Amino acid sequence: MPINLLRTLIPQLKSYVSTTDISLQSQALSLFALLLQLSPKSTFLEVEREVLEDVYGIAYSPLTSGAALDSVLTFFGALVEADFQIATHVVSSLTRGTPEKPKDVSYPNVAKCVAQVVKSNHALAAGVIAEFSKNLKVGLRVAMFLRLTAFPETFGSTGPLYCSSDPWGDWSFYVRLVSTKEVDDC
Amino acid sequence: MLTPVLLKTLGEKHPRVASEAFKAFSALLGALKPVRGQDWVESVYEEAIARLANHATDAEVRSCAEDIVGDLWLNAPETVHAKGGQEWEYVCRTSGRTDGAVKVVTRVAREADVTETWVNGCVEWATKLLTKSGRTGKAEVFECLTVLLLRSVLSTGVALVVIGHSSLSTDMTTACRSTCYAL
Repeated sequence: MPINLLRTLIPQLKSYVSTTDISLQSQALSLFALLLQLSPKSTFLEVEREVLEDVYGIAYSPLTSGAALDSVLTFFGALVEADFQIATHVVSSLTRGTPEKPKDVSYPNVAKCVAQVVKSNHALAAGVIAEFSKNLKVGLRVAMFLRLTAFPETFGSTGPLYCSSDPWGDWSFYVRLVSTKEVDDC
Repeated sequence: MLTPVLLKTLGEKHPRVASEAFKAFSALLGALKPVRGQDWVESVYEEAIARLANHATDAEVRSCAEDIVGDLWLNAPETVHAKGGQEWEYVCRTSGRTDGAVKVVTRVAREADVTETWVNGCVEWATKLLTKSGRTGKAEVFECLTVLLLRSVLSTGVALVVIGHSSLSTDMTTACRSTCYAL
């Protein structure tokens, strides 16, 4: 893609990255993901500088679900694959930069985004799991479902360490807020 | 036998007659694909250009003329390639109704043999459409942009990752694979 075309296109797409219109936002994020796949070098810097902060906001939003969430995940996957070095930064921004009001944050969304980043950069898996394990006692009890089948090279195991019936889908790494009773049942 | 009568009706003032004539030629182009060395193709092209260039053209006739430009690109490529692409200057306008044009560009980008210059020109045009106020037709513009960007893969062959993308037609997927294997 010619660079001048990208410089015109990216600001226009950016204006759709908001929760005002979820459907168009989803399409805009899918296009960003496509641009990151097609022209990673020329798109990455622009996206990191102009769009990434807004996407964090969308990832936190409880309004983001279904196809819109899929496009957020595709975006994060493409972003990390465009430049692996950003993966750690994305994980820390997703988990530490949450809004002040906890009710405004969809933790399942954040967890899925972290999972997607780890999927796109397996080298992060051990570090991210260790980081999340430290925060298990904050506020609500947190249950971590670690499905290790995707990371045998990291953990030397092909079987799941801890596996639920997994009604949430096939996530390699999943953090979910649950009630104390549910954790005990697990 | 058939085409002289149809060609005459293409120039009719009555919009219903003209638009039905365009539709008949669309069907004919599809049935005779690939169309080569036929005089009537030239006439259909000229009439479509005349209709598109005229701002007073009825909306239905304009829509049919836009469709036939797409049909010509898909079914009579040799004729239109020789024209230098002037038809797109009339199809790709940024004012008025643009939904038909977006559909035609998407279809041509998905199925026809196009150049990188054409793709870049259409991306520029579609980007301008995103600046228009209102939500109407925006989803289609995004779809159009997706197809155009995927189309750029065919000329560069850089993105193996996009093979199997839902917006790719079967032909494009095959072409992508061929390009990538050739590398």
